[in-house]
Amino acid sequence: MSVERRETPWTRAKPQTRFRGGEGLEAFLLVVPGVALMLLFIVWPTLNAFWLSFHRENLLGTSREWVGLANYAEMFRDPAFWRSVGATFVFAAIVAPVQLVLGLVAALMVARPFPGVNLFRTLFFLTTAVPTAVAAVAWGWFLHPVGGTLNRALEAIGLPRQPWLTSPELALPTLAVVTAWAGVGFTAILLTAGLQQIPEELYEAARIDGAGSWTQFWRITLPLLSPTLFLVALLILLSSLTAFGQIHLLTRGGPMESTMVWIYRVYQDAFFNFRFYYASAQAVALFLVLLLLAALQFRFFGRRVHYG
Amino acid sequence: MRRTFVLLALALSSLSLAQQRVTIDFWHSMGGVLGEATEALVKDFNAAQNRITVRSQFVGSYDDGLNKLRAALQAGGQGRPHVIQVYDIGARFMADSGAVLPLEDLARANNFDLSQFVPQPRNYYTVDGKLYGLAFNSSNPILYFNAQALEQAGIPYRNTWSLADLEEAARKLTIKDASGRTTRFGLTIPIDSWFVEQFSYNSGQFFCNNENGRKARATEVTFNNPAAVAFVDTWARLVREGVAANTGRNWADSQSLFAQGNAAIAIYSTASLTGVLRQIGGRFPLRTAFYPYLNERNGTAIGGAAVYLLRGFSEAETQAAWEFIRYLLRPETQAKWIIGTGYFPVVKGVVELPSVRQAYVRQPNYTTALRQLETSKVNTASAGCLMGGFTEIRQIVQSAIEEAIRGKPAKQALDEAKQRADQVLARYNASVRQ
Repeated sequence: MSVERRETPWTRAKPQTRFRGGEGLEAFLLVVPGVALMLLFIVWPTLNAFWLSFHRENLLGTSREWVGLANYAEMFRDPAFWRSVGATFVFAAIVAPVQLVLGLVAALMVARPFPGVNLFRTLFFLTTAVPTAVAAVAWGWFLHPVGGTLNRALEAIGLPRQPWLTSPELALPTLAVVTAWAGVGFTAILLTAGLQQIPEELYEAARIDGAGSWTQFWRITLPLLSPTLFLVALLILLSSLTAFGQIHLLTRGGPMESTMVWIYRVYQDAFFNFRFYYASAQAVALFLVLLLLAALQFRFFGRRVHYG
Repeated sequence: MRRTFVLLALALSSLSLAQQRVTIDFWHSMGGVLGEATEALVKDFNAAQNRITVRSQFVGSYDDGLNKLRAALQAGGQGRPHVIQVYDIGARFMADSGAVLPLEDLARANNFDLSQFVPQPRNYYTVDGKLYGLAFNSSNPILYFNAQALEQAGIPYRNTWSLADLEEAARKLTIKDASGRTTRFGLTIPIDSWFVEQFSYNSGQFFCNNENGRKARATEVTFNNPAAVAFVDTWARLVREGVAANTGRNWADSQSLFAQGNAAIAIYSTASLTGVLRQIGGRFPLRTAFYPYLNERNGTAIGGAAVYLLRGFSEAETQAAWEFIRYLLRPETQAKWIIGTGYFPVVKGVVELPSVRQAYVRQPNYTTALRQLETSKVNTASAGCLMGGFTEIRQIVQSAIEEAIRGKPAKQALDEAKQRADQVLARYNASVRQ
């Protein structure tokens, strides 16, 4: 009996196990390089930053001293840190709506096929395809305080020049718009995909019922697009909280530290001021905020979203 | 069997060749035209002899290079280069790192006469009484004039300018339209702490205490000195009145304004000369002049960068690195370097070389920096401030300039900035003692 019992599962399961095992092994082997790279270049440095944030270092980082939460205490008392937190959220509060609305407009324009639609789709996506460095340099010319295209245009219609990137009031909003512009293409693509999943019959039915295009947009498009909109909004928020390249190339945190956002302060403290431990504390705090935001969004907004 | 033997012999012989030839690593931060000039020097050195190969590597900006060096030193020195180029304000850090083999020690061991050096570059890189680095690319700030605008406004060209004279000229050169909008600015200065530092030195003032950190380690900044306050105050006032343009911290934005004829006077480094001339093209003739001062001209400090030898390599490698430094110091090498870049020589006897003389005759604007250097007083003010945390402190000064431009009194802006900068300096000094 016992022999039979032992044999039966063995012989029966054998081909299946071997098959599954082979597939599992194959999958495992395929995943290993990716996971190894992630562990090495993402997880390990992250853990390292956590660890470092509880220390102080000497000049060259050759000796470390455990200081517990001292770096965090310093951070909470540091007015410069709080200014950068404020700047970060103002920045995100401008980027998110601007990019979402522009992206939605672009998506609505190209969701339904018409002659030449691919040309427009390509044009919209170009803003995302252009490397940040190239875009930043172009924006730099465009926004030059005296000879820039934008200021020349303003002067041509009798308006005064604006210090787009050289005044502490305008620099952050200007950077936010530049950032939103760069993300419009990506947003539009995601939203276009969302729009194309809305069944055409719904619109047909609505039209038969006499609904205008405005009513169709509010009653059909927007509710059914809400899962995608939610996802996109989250992505924009998270990416705008970690925007770096355009700030580095256009203002470097100035003028008067008005564009010294959280992530840029982390960069400055680490790679210019050689305070990697203090930068780590700030980076950990930013990490926790991003984590919290993602969790909150999923928890409270996630349920209200219409999943069709 | 025979083939294996031949291969083995070949491998062995190439191995022994490799042993004879010493390879040293050189990290530099010279990009673009300057990078080409640097690589050309390395190539010439490698071609001129067969014992040493210099492997040069462009490591990004000065800050990038310093970060790479710090990372290497943190990892116990693994992967560090034999020779590295580090910017002027990194001098205190390099000496404090303990990783540098002072140039003075090597020079003495090899009977190299240190009096061959031009005094200012030597003074700048002398830390705690010892010369640490070789001033490789040295520059100073100068005035750039649109000579055509100057002539049209009836202002005679001079090579020395007090701040008051400069302000008067800038006002005369400003053109505004009926609505009060400036159509041509009198002056443009990129927002950079370096110009405040240099104005302090050139007026005989210190940027940090203990005589610019030259008598003892600097423990406080003194950039709220009367000269710096006057300079920032004048600069900020002129911006608010529409006489000076505020193009932000980016030098390129100021240079394009000047090169297009939309600003008549500018302040940049002498190292910007080649680029500015290229941008101007044939639009207007350019004249350069000495850096301004408050009451009496003292002398500017040098800017730019130095190359350092790192310690802890084998005798043969250190000797090879020294050979490379010796090559860089040869008048012929210096001549090639300064003609290609606009920097000035750091050893004596270079200017007298025919190739240099010809180049200076062709483009006399290149001599301004050199004459400024030669006529500068040699003292602790013109030696330049030596302190740690300089990168961070520059950011603080730049914010103070921006605050002054917005209307905060210059004295108050610089006083407040001093509080923050002193904390940075104290923290740096503490991190050295640890």
